Amino acid sequence: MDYRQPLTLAEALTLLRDAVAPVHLLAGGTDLIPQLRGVNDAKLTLVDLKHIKELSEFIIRADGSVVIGAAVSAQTMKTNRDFNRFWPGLHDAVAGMGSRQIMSRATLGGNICHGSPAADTVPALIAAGAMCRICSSDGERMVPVNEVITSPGKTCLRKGEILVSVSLPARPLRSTDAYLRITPRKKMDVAIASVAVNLTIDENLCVMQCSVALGAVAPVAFAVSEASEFMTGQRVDQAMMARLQRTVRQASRPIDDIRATAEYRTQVAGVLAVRAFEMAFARVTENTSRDQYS
Amino acid sequence: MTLLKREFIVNGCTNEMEVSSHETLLNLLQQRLQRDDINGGCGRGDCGACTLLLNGQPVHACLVLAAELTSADVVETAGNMTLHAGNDRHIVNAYQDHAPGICDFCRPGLWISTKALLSEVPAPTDQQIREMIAGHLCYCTSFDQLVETVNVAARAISEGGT
Repeated sequence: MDYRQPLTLAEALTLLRDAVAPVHLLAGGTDLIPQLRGVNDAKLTLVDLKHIKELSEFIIRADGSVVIGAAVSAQTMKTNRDFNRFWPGLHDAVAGMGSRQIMSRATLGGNICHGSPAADTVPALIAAGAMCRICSSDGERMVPVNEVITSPGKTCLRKGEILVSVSLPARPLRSTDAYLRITPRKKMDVAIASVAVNLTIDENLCVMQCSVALGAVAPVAFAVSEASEFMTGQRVDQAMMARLQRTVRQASRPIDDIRATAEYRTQVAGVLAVRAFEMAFARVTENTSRDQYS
Repeated sequence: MTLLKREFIVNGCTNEMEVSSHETLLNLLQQRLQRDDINGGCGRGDCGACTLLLNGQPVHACLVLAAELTSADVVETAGNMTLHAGNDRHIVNAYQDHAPGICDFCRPGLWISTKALLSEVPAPTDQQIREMIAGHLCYCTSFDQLVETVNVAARAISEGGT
């Protein structure tokens, strides 16, 4: 196995372009290194991305827009107060990525590119409308995060491409998000269902825009567009919550596995969706009363 | 096999050696530097036995490649904590007095995680302590006892003395 530590993005992209044998991209390594145990393939190349500036930057602007390099650690995101203030739901998703030791190493890019249906950050990124910057030696493209993971363990990244960073849009007035998941064990466990809600309300407390995304209840995390459609412009009441619950359950396509049955996942996804919405609504009304964005 | 020249600091001592591209930091410390203050368990970041500080951050040595190290990297293992008076000594003493049942397998990692937690949060809540413990699969003692131990260490550090 060959190990390379490029110091610039151009150098890394050239390495990938010229590679003839399989290449593994290494960021935090929390998933990759156990997979490589016992593998001593002389042809394999490991490209360590941690020393590349574009993948290590973490920019939070005054309007709430954020650029997160793919190799930024979960702990860096978790401990940033501005990030928590603008994107508390995504912050909670990041905080669930693993133990303190894992948080030191695990990265946002790794969480996306590993392609797990239960990845914590992915539903929150989908609800947020995050865009991924993907670069190759031929140029770059911006891809919505929900199109990056194509099936469990698979991404849309082509040979020679690197996920460089993830961008979150600016925050309109009266906006926030929330993320909830259920796991058999509180920490160090994989979600059996997760829901992210990204919400903007108007001055009359009606929904201006609401994105709901689900994780672990389908082969890939996805946005429930039906929920966004019926909620827009509506007043928040019990009937809306009941319809949200129904819509989320209808959209879920889970499987039975060792962690939970499909029936349980479907039921719990509906409950989590209502709770996540209520959490986001409480956050945004509290923020509005404090006039945080003035 | 590709060998790479690496320089890094372990417990204050600079090491210069050739490492293979697939060798983990755990293997390097245990097998080549013959350190007995770090243990290998699951090899996949679940059990926490191989926890050490890399540039002040707690990490699993089994999930770090030796090839990733540069001359700027500082590694600290649990053995270093017994050498000096001060905060480290308070943590070691707290484990000795309040969680004597923990065997040598998990203890080094727990010392390190406690040190990392108390340097980030000098007076942690029980919930924060439990989150720290979640990174360790230790069955020698109860988690309640570990919470008490970390609280004792935190109080001893805040009261000062050596």
